[in-house]
Amino acid sequence: MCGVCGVYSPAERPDGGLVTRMMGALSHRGPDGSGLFRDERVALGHTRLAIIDTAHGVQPMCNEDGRVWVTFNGEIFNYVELAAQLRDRGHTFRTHSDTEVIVHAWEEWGPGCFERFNGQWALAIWDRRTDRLVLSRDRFGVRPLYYTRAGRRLLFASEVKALYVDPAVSRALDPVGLDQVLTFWSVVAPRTVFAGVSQVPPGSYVVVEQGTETLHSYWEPTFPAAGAEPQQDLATNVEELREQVVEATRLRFLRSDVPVGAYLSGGIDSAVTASAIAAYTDAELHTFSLRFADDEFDEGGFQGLMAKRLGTVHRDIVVTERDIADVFPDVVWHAENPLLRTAPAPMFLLSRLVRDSGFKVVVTGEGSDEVLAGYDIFREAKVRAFWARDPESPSRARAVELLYPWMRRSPNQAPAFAKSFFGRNLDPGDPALSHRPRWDSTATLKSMLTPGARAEVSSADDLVAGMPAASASWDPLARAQWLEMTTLLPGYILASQGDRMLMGNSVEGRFPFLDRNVAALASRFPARQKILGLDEKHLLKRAFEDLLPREIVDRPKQPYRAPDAASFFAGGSPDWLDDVTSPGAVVDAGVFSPVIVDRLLDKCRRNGGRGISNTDNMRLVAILSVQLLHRQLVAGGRTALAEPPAPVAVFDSLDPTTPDVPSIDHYEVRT
Amino acid sequence: MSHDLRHRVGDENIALFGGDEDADLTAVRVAIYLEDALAITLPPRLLDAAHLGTPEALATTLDGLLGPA
Repeated sequence: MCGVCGVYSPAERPDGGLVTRMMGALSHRGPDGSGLFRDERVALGHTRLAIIDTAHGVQPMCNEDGRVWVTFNGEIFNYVELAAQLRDRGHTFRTHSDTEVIVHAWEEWGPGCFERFNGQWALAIWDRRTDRLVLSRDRFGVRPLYYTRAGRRLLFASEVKALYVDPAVSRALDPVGLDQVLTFWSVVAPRTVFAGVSQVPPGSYVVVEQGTETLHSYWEPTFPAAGAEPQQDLATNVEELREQVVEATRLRFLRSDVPVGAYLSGGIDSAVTASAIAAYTDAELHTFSLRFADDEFDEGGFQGLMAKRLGTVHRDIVVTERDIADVFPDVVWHAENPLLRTAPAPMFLLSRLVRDSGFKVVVTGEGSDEVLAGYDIFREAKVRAFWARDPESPSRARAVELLYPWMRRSPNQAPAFAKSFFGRNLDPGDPALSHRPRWDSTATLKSMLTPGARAEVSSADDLVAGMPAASASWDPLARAQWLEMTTLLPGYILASQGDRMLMGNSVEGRFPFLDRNVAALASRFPARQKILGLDEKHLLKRAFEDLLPREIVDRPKQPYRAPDAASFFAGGSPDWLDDVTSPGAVVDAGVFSPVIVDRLLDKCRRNGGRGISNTDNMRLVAILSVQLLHRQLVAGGRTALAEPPAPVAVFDSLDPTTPDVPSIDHYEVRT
Repeated sequence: MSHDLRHRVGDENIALFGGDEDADLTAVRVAIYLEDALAITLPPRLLDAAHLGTPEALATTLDGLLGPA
């Protein structure tokens, strides 16, 4: 895992010093070294977290004649198989890295190579044969990739803070991006919350040539028409799912030249991946868990049960409310997104434990809830659809009682609230029936915005209008999965709570449930089997029930959460809070109404952050994160590292001493 | 078609029963599944424990919906 950056500069020689400083801003993503390539039009930068072929995988890397260059963040897990195919077609390899496979795959297949990759990546290819720069991102958006314009130049980077190294890049928050976050909890690519900054959408690539950029899609989530799913037999589906998940996990555990650990959350997904490693490899397994001092959020009992069953070397970290408050500015700095929950903060502390334990790669269970239908929002949607068929039916209304048996403040304990919440907007023909309650409740946060921060858009309507035409024939669950895979998965789960919290401590996450083959198989399953009745992830449970304790298989899903307002007020506020929420700071940012901010802070102080409503918790975390985002990134209040990690390998074709035909031996190495 | 649907429901319904809720609520759970599996909307008279609350009641109800096995 690494950081990538660069400049496309058609009118003047690219500034190597600028790209070197951009590399410095990405030091945390690749502390093991860095590299720079430059020619007349393009400069590519790279910071390296050395995982595969640690001795030879220096980047940027080129093909045999130096006419195709790549800077690459991620892993191509099927690189061994692809390299064999490419050797058969006459390509010569100088390293054993997956990076070199990308170069030759591009030569051989052009953009068709992306469909052949099974992995997680953000990369830039500079093809000097055609004068094209290509930016590409993996199917689900595991790895981030941003770009922006500064005059005729195009800059790209793994993180926005590297773009902001260039003083010519203007800095401002984007009202439309904010509107998306205050609807979906995340932006929707290519939009970001930063004005003028775009991100390469998942499953896409951008071609930059002659001063223009064009966006192309090579993959997007798709599903068969309802009732026409090709995989109808439940027993066969269970068997095939197990085979694919085991293989995906094995690939992600074994294809590394450094030790790989695994997360254990206490839920079924990480239990499956850790069990697959333990059952199908001989390696000693190290597992890592996140615990909370507050019992309401803690899953330590289930984590310990699983670790003991697997006989792993287990480590955990117990997070307090104060820990969350203290680390929150760093979390926002790395997330580069507004947050509505503090949940990313403990994940940042967990990856620190991993790094401090000597590991830099972990296998985790993310993606299972989206691919195999684990979220409560999917179950809610089924209940809402069931109810919508006859809204006056008392029997159908009772379906609400089947939801959320785990929740302390369950809607079951307040039937009137539950029926009001789930019974709103019951339009069976609404393609977004599943997500309306969440979007509507989140959108109430927009009332805090100043007029200048409001966008005259309807993010929800725009998203629904952009759904694939074929989705009209999909099962409602498939439509809900598409919405989740387009919004929260890439924009929050894999970003703010995933890549950014891992890479903040230089740790790579690997996600077997987002394997190309697992996802393709799961999309062919009938919706009724994914959630059987209201049993979420039913096929996964059946597939691995012999490897898991009944306590894990049978436990109701517990969404991962962390204490929100209480983290900032229960034990006294952290020093930074008054500073970023002062009336002057709120006016400077110009995003939220100072009166509303003041009123909410007073309320939280009075209650020590406890007994705060769900909406007020979201309001508070939104305010704090946006204020920090503005302070640190937009106003430039926090400076990224300027020096890239040593050693720095430089291939500067504008330097007359640089050979015409480069090889990996011709880098100038600066220490 | 009826045979296929019956076969499908027979294979898959094993996970529907055995919860600790009351029988009428179990019937709601079964109804949610059944409407998905058969792509139908059940009439109000069938949404109770007598028709869907136990495997035996479900079997009888399916006979009515799909014809005898």
